[in-house]
Amino acid sequence: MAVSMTSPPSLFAIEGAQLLFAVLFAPVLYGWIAVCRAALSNRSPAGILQPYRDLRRLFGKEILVPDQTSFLFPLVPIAVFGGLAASSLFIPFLWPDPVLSPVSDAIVLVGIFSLVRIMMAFGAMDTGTPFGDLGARREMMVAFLAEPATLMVLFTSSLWSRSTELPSILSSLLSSSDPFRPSLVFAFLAYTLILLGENARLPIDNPATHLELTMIHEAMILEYSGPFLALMEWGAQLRLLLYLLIGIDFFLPWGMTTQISVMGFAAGGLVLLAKLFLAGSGLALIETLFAKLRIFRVPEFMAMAYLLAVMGFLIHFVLEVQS
Amino acid sequence: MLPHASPLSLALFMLVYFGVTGLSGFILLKRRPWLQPVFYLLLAAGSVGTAFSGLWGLECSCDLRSTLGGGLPSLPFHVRLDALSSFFLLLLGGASTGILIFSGGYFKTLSGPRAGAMFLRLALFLGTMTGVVLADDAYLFMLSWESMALVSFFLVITDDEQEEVRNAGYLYLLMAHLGSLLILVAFALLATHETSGRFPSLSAFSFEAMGKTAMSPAIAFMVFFSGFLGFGAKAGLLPLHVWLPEAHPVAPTPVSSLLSGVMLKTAIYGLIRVFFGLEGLEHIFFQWGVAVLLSGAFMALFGILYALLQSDPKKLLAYSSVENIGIILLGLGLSVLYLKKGFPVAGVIALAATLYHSINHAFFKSLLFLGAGTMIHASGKKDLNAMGGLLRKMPVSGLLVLIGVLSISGLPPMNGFVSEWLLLQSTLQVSDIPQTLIRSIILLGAALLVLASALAAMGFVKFFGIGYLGLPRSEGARQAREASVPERVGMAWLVTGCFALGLFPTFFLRWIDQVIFHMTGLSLPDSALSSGWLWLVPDSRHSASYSPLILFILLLLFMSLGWGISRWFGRPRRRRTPAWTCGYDIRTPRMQDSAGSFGQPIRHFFANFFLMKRHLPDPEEKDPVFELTVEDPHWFYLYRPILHLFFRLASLAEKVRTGKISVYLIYSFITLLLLLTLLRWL
Repeated sequence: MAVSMTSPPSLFAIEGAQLLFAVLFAPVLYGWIAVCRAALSNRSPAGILQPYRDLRRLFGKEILVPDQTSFLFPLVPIAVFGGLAASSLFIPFLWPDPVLSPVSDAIVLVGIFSLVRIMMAFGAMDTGTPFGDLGARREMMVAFLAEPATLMVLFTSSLWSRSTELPSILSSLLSSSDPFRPSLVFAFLAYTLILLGENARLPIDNPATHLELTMIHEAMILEYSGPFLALMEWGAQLRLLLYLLIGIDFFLPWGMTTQISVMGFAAGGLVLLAKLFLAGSGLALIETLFAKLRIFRVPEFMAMAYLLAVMGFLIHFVLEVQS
Repeated sequence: MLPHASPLSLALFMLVYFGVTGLSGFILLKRRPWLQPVFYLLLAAGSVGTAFSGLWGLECSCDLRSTLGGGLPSLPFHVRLDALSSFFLLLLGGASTGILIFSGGYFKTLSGPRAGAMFLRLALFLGTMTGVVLADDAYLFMLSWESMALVSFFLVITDDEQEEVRNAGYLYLLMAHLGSLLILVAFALLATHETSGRFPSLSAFSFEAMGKTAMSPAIAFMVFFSGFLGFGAKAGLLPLHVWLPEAHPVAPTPVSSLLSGVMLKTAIYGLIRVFFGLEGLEHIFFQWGVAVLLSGAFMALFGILYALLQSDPKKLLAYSSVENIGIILLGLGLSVLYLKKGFPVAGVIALAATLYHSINHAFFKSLLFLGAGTMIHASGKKDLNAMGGLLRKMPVSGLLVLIGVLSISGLPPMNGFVSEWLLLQSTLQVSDIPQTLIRSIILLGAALLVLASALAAMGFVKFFGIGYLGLPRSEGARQAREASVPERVGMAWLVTGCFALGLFPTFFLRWIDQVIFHMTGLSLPDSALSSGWLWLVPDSRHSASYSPLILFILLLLFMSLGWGISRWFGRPRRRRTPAWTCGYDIRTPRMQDSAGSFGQPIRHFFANFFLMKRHLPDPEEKDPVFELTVEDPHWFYLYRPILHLFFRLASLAEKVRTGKISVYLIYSFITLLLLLTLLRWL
């Protein structure tokens, strides 16, 4: 979609709103998932704003830096948070065609996520502890299958729009008369599995445990403390939100406003919030129903995601293309 | 010679300059080895000149031909500087400049005679590579190609007192000659097939004459595949790649860097020259493109899987070169396939990605080999398991290597990403192709490409994480010192190249477009070149766009935002403490991952790819040893059987060898009789 630097300032205001929404809403979503999980397992929830309290507590603490780490260690939380916050500018969710979205298509987004992941792995290995190495190794193991699967899902979605730009994918879905596509069903299933794997959720990883035999994400951020840990946690929350937002763009884009008006944004925002809360409770349900997989089974899980994505791709050619 | 200044005369001048500098260095450095940094700077200046001649050639879109004295009767030396040569001159000069500056610091401990010899060989190596790119007839090309192989052979066996070095050198020479033979076959077929059995006049061997001939499909097939295998042997095509992981670790660092970063690209140059220039697309069938595509895709996966298991950093990089050449071949095959099927836009994008990845690889792989050299130098061992914690001791060179690692892992906003992104964009045009089989093949290629690049990220997390991060794993690593100034400057040059290629892709695409137009008569879509230098738009704004520079600035901006938040909200106090590690109070370097254990998930998951021999210790053993060896299956399934066959044949020949001259005379007599009868019948 054509963008020139002479766009009206309101478009940049939308970008600002997107950024603020993503950064501020991410902890709330995490809180909501925790509330749902607690409700599903008959515990009394800590409240939807608990992640905010945790962040405030962490920001108030001093930073402990393990000895014998290099200059990379303090750089990593900043890079993780910065990379993910920047990504929120490129994903259309409040407005179907953000000004800055031509900077990065969906492949570039996957690349930025990969950059963030590699920085995290470096931060973990910099500590020279067995846990850090273990976390980095496992994270990369999950990633090497999740990343191709993500791109396959993306390819499937882009076959319709003949584009890897999120706004184009979005508009081709919004403007089609028959939005049900079998290939997208497979892609959706694959994407759900990827989302679980990439965001360290059950059944791949359990964010609530520090058991050395099972942890992945927690092992990587084990040595971070204070504001650094806060940035890492905030980054993880942001990443989950961004994955959900991309998923919404791919599979459920309906309801987004197409006119710049207060009412339009209010309505679009409400629909978006509803979708996100719904997705959050869905995640909580999945996490309550499934137990954690053994680490050796994880590649099989991710391979299944890859397979589903490829099937979506093939089904597009078999069923949906008239030739 | 050419009377006026032109890119070609500049390139030829640089050729002479390499020779003169090399010889004077050879003479002077014997007595005064301390002059090395100066001489290497002079040589680097020659590389800059070569790069400039390439740049000039691309800017003026020249196609200059000339003949020099010498050569064969009726075949004087033809030289030519067209867009393709110019592009590869730019690649060659650009990457080798950094390597040569680095050499000035790296070789400073060499004694006089060795320093002189090394300098001369390096200068000749550069000269012969330039010659390969400039040659415009089969004779000059083969002359340069073979001298290049010989010079690089002598460079590889620099430390020839060790047996493994001699073995690796021998293997390299063998593969190089096998390749040359096949290339010669391709050239001979191109030059002679019209003359039906009679040997043509020598002038048929100039590239101009070779490019103009029509040929039957059978001949075209043989030319295509002997060229593919011949140049493939140099580029590391499976299964002819076996010399790469042997020769690179034993060669001195700047040499392995030149081999992998620059020399492999001369093979890519040769492939493009033969496919698009001499043979011509009109004689090529799309199925051959499919073959190239599939072999490239498989190479990419195979190379990176083996790279992940290596603990010698240079071996790791050598296997990763197999992967990257695989990606380049994938792009080349894809472009042939698309162009032959009549999809010029997709084909041109794939070809652009191929060329872009070649120059990217030249920069980041040279950089990483230099980095591996400083790591080995600092820790004293060619083993990642003896490294660790180097980033604290060598922050500057470590940071430079980190940038190379991010580049080769294909991460935005660095350069490796640009070419992989272009390649993916071209595979996405697959829905235009009606045939399901071809479509699935392209998709398979795309899937393998993505898988390989995700695995590459893991491999280079291992390379950097085990080597530079964590606790030092050996006494050597504890004592490590920062690399010397010329070494760091050389690496910084290559990093600058990576940044330029990553952040300003449009400039390079404009040059690449010249090459593509020259070779195929097609051009990149308008939007690719007219969207302004900020935007990379391969096809149309609607389908995909990417702006690395804006992304880079945004990333920096948001990183400082993150830093600001942590400063503003957080307490500024920062304290160094022992690592927490879940409260365990013992923490030794040996508790970290070793190079082997980091690759363990890969070994587990792709077990079918590896030939593993494992020895698990008995519980009662006194000195329990865990041993695991992984071998390249090509040795087991291909080369050893061939070797055994040769031995078998030799022992058969041994039976007729008696050592008595009378028996030998009878042999020759019988042979003579047989031949005469044969002649009679015919």
